[in-house]
Amino acid sequence: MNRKQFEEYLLLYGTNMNEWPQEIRQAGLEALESSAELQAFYQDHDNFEKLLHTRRYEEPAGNFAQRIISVSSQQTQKDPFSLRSLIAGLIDEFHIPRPALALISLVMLLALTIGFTIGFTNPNGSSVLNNTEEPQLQAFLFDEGDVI
Amino acid sequence: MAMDHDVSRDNDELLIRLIQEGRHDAFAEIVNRHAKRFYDIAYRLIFDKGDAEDIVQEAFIKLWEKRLNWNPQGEAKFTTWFYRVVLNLCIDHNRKKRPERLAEEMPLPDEQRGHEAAMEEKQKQLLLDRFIQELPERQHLALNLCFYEGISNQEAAEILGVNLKALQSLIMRAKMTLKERVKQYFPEGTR
Repeated sequence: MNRKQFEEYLLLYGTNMNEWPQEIRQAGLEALESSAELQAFYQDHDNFEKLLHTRRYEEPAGNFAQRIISVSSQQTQKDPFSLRSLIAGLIDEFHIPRPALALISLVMLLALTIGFTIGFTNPNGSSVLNNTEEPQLQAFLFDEGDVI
Repeated sequence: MAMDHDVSRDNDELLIRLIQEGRHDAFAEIVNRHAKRFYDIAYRLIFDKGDAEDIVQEAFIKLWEKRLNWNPQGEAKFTTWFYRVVLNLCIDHNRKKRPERLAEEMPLPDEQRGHEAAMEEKQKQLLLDRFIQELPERQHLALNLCFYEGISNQEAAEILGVNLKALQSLIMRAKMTLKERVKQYFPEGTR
């Protein structure tokens, strides 16, 4: 291992050579042992790493994890909307038995079908109500004595 | 899975599945197991205890609130994924924060040389924090993950989304830059 390689590995893996990858560890140790220049470089780098480890650090508050747990327990889960969960929720909420729910759905479907059928068979939109409502309103106004 | 199931022996990935089922005890276990490690990296990136605690809390609360949106099959280990979440929050925090001015707080190297023997440990630490903070963002992250947190190069590469060679290059450049700056401000070395 040459000096350049040794320096690179030292920067990369640090001065604890027991933590160097196994395939380069032995070569590194031998290079260090045989070169005064590398020993000086190693010592210099060791001092540098020691300095890095003096870096300021503050422990988190003692109840830090507990605080997170307690805040999260107050959060409600915002489930994404789904029709299936809505129906399931309704069934649970009102205790509707499934056959009853099926019957209600069938009745509603029937009513919708009848509604559509009436709508399509009378496409111009005229209705009996429209024809009769106006005279009734006039009669009402006349009876009340309003001036139009 | 039964509610009386003891989660303390489950691995992280199983805990995440339980969390997705709404198991708050599994969430509590994940928090107890990992809150400190994520606080450590957040603290080293933003240099403020209160902010670091808030960021980690925010990340965990998001995990709980949006638990159904996380797809474990598509992700790596829980910790790898969660490191990314915390790092991104820290990066956002640092970008929003107004950069502090170096000149007001630090003596110039020439002035400093005469007083070096009397320099207090606290001042040294402040300088060191500053040097590290001034590293390019990716070098800063790589140094913190690998040197301070002791994460393997491979996992750190996954967290940062780079290949192993790129990660190693980031670590080396970070240390070389720091070493030069340390020598500039502490010419007598660290003896």
